[in-house]
Amino acid sequence: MKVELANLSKKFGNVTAVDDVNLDIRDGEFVAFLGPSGCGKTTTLLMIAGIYRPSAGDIFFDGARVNELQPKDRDIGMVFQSYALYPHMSVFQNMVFSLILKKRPKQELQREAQRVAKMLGIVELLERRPGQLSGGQQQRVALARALIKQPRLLLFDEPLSNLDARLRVSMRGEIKKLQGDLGITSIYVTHDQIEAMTMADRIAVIKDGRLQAYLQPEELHDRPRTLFIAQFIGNPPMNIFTVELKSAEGGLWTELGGGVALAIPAERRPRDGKKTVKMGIRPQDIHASASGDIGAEVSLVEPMGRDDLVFCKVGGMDIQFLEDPALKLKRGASVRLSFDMGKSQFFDPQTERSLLWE
Amino acid sequence: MHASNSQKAAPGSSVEALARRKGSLAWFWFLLPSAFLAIVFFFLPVLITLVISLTNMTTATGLSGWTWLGTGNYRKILANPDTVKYLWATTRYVVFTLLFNVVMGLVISLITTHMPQRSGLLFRAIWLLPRITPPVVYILMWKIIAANLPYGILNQLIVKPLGLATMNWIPEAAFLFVVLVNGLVGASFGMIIFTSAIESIPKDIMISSLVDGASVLQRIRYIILPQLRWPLLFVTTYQTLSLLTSYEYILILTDGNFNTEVWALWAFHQALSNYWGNFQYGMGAALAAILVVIGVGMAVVYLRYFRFGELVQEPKIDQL
Amino acid sequence: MRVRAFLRGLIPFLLIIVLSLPILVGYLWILISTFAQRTYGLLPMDADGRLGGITLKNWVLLFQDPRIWTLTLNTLFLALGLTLGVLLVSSLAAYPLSRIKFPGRKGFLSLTLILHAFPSVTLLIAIFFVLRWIAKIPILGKGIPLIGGFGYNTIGGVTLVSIALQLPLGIWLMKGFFDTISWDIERAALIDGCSRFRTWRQILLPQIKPGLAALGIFSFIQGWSSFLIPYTFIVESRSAVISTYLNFLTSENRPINYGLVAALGLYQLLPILIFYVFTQKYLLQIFSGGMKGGA
Repeated sequence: MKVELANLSKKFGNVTAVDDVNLDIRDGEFVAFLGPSGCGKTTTLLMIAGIYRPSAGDIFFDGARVNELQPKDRDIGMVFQSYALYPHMSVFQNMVFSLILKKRPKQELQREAQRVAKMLGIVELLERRPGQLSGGQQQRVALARALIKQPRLLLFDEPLSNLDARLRVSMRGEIKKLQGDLGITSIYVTHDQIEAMTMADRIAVIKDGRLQAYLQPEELHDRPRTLFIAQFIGNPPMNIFTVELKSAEGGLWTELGGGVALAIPAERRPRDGKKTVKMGIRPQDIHASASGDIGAEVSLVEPMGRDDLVFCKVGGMDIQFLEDPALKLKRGASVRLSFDMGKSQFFDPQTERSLLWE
Repeated sequence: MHASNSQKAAPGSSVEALARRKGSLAWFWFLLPSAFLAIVFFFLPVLITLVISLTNMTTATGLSGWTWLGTGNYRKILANPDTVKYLWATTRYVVFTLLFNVVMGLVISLITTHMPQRSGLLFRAIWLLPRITPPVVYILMWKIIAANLPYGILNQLIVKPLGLATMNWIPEAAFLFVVLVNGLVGASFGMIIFTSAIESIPKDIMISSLVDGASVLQRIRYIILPQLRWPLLFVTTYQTLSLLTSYEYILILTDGNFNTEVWALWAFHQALSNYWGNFQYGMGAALAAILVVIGVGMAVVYLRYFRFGELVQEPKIDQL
Repeated sequence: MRVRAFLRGLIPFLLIIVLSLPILVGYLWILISTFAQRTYGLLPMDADGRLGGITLKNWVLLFQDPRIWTLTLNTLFLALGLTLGVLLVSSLAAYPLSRIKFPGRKGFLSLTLILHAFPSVTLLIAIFFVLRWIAKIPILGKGIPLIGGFGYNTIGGVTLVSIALQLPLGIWLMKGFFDTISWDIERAALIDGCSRFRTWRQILLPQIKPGLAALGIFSFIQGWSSFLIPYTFIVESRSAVISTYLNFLTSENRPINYGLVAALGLYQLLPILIFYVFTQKYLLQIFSGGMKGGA
């Protein structure tokens, strides 16, 4: 089913939680709403679910306007962060509740419950109560409850936030695979950019109620449209510095301070001809190399297993970069850094919009 | 990123509109029973009280033979020499019982929070007993305490051994007993509220003050009592209103005799249990009306002041 | 040193025992008196004024009195009726007040609070008129078998009035309980397809069972102990409920059989004490919860 949001807004009193959001979701697509806490992503989700009434704008399911349609008539399934299982009912009863409300015959309840329980591996839990289940099991039951209706749209509100890290990773894969197999259009709200990046076909980045960008994960990562996106996406976060641009020797250079200048490749030239800009470069695009242009002193090394995250100071600026642990960099060591300027990003310091990508 | 579709009407939109209206009226049906009861037993009675107070209705005139008096009843009240007596009885009753309630509530909560927790709970449970005891049974206990020989407990255990004259103490010290009877019930209100306030003082502060060298009494004075300012105000104002209008225990204990007839009881007697059977509805209503107006006024002011409206949270599900 | 600390620890105990004497003495007396022919003070005596006289005669007399059964039934009707009525009507009303956005919600809530703080006893005179008017309604007013109806001079009418006057407290408490339920569960129910009523009945009420129990027990005790309303609105008040009969026995200017009276008193007290001992936690919750909003 296709979903379309047109000029969607929501106000609570004087506070605007969602501000003029426009986006479209294709049939079978897995879309993530990504943003920090309180940015309006859950509010948007709840408007799509029919729990909140939009203050302005419209929501369309397959072209039909559904603003006034009751949640139960929208043919949706929803998985909550808190699972929201009915504590006084068994797993089986939780799952088939929606079917009971539709007055389906008993055999159908049994059959459907078995089908979905098998899909999610919870067949042996059917007679238990939610209170007797672990977090991961409750999550599966919540998912089962949403899926049993064979909905046209699946809504997820940070479903994995309450699970421990290991479980989160495995559940992520399962949800993604399930969604792929079933082909149900899905909207997944999260504040975890790794989750969004690994699961979604497209990510809608939301900040302060406004849509910052709505692109594929790769696009957002390699070609961030705003400073916020650049810093929010990618782990460890991108280094950002304020730099001066200088024309010299037929090319454009950035002045990093301390007399160091880096050449900017032609394809990375910021437009608009500003003198002072914000430059961004990811930790993985900086390397310690003997022929590097920049001298730095290591202030801290965080071993992350596969890489070391090295913090250092360059002329007063803090820089992080990832390096091979085999180099055994230590605090106080002097290193020379080389920047892969082919991966550099530039942003307008006032508007915080990218000076490279539209 | 902008898709501007022209607005398409949802199929069967009139059905949807109807469903919306039906769904959004559910709250009405939920509220109906209580709204009905509130109208019949609160709002209507307030109106009736005010209206009848302007008539000369009694059992003699019945429901058809009465006439409008305007402010007649009220003027009668002002002119009645007994009015001052009842006003005085009411004032005495409210002031002294309030004092007892608040002080005792404070004392009990202080004592029971300065002993092992289970003992504290036990004694607070004992002090709650008067409140949950059926009024008649509770007063029966007091009657026996005050009764004359050979049954009376006070006389048997204290007065006689001390060689003093024994008698039924209720007629003798009716006002004292009225205060005690109501006070023992009323004290538990303050007790619960003050105890909860005391228990919410962080343990660290309680301990560190002793470490700093305060005695238990000093801690009470400098640490605990300041925390009780708001609860004290709350209990005092709340119980003032409830004392002004309460009369059940007095009715059972003395029926207003021996100078214990408070205003509310006077109203009740006038209209509903007049000795010669000619119930003075109009008069009783006028007396009650005065209390009703005071009651409504105080309730509104009291609510505004204590900002109970802050306990209202917005629902997190919209009506579509 | 330890002795001094011990003695100091005793002070609160001594203080409170002294202060609690009237209560302790009163209860002690009732207990003793029900089993004694007479009591001089707290001492059981027999008919000739000698120590002793322990007997079950008071209880025998009590249960031989045919009135005891009508009284018990009436009182039970009042207690149960009050309980069910308050629970049903309060939990129905509290749901939208707590959980549904509707026009005038804030107004309703303020109204509930005002009614809560308002002294309802002042309205008894007017309610007298309301009940007489209800008595005029065919069948409902006076014609229902057993309970007589819902009008003046019927136990049904007394129950109705009691329910109404208890409502502000009940609604306020129930609202407090509804406020504690997570929003996600209700949202999930609505998405699953529940109507508001079904959500209330099947999903939300089960979540506040302790609250319902607490209010139920509290209301039962109120109804069982009730005096003023049955006294005011039933003409032959001596045969209305246990409280009014007891009042009749102890207020006439005639010799009072204290043993019998104490037995009746203990009879009325017993269910309450049993509830109190076993469900004190719940009751305390009601008293505190109700009092924060004003009880």
